[in-house]
Amino acid sequence: MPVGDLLKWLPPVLVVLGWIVVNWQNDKRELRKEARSLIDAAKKLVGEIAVKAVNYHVDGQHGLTFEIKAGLDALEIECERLPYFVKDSPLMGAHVAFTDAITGGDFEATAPAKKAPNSPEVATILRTRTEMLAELERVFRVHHLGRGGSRRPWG
Amino acid sequence: MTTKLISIAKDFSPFPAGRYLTDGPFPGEAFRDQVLLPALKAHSDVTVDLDGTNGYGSSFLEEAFGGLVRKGGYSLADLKRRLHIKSERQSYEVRIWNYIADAVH
Repeated sequence: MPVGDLLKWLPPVLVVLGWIVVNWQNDKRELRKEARSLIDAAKKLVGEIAVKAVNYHVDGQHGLTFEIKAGLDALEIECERLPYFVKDSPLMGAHVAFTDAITGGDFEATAPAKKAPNSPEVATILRTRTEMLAELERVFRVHHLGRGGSRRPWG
Repeated sequence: MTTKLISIAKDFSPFPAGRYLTDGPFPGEAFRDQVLLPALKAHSDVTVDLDGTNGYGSSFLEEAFGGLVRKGGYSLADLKRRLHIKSERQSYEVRIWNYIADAVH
């Protein structure tokens, strides 16, 4: 094919290629926005559940059991919308550890022992809360910003 | 070879809560001793459906399923072969097998 004919096709080909690139970038940006809002909603839930858990275990507000369990279920449903919340994933592991820290031991006992604010049980709740928040940020960095495979946000 | 499907919501209670019999009417200990252990003794395969309740505390699940090792004398391998977990929430299955594995060690 003569060079002149090839050059004739170059502008429309470039337009199509440009459209593909722009469309791909738009898709990526929209996915990132959606994931960001999901992760922010999940982080908000984690914070709210942790506060209720401390009120339950430290202040003896035992009427909070339903709200805590419902909150943990809502958190899981929120996380399930993220494609990387799968069995054996670090995010699932963080969610399980957070749930166990709050609802293990004597949770829902007739008279659960009041824990001191500096007790190991409360320390575990706060540690697993932080790990859950950090894991949510890590998966966002890895999957949507393309950086930071470390399990620690500061790593 | 017989199989048994247990729905916690229908066959036990939609409101499971607590660990021990002293914790209320529907704790993990009661589910294990009244429903789960008899089913495992009578059937070769047991599927537990966790859907339809108002959620589970780890205390309930640990006593019900971890207790199969401590009180029922089952091994992890035997339970892996015969016990099946069904739930809309993926984490329940992970949690239950964690409790069983922890009870073994």
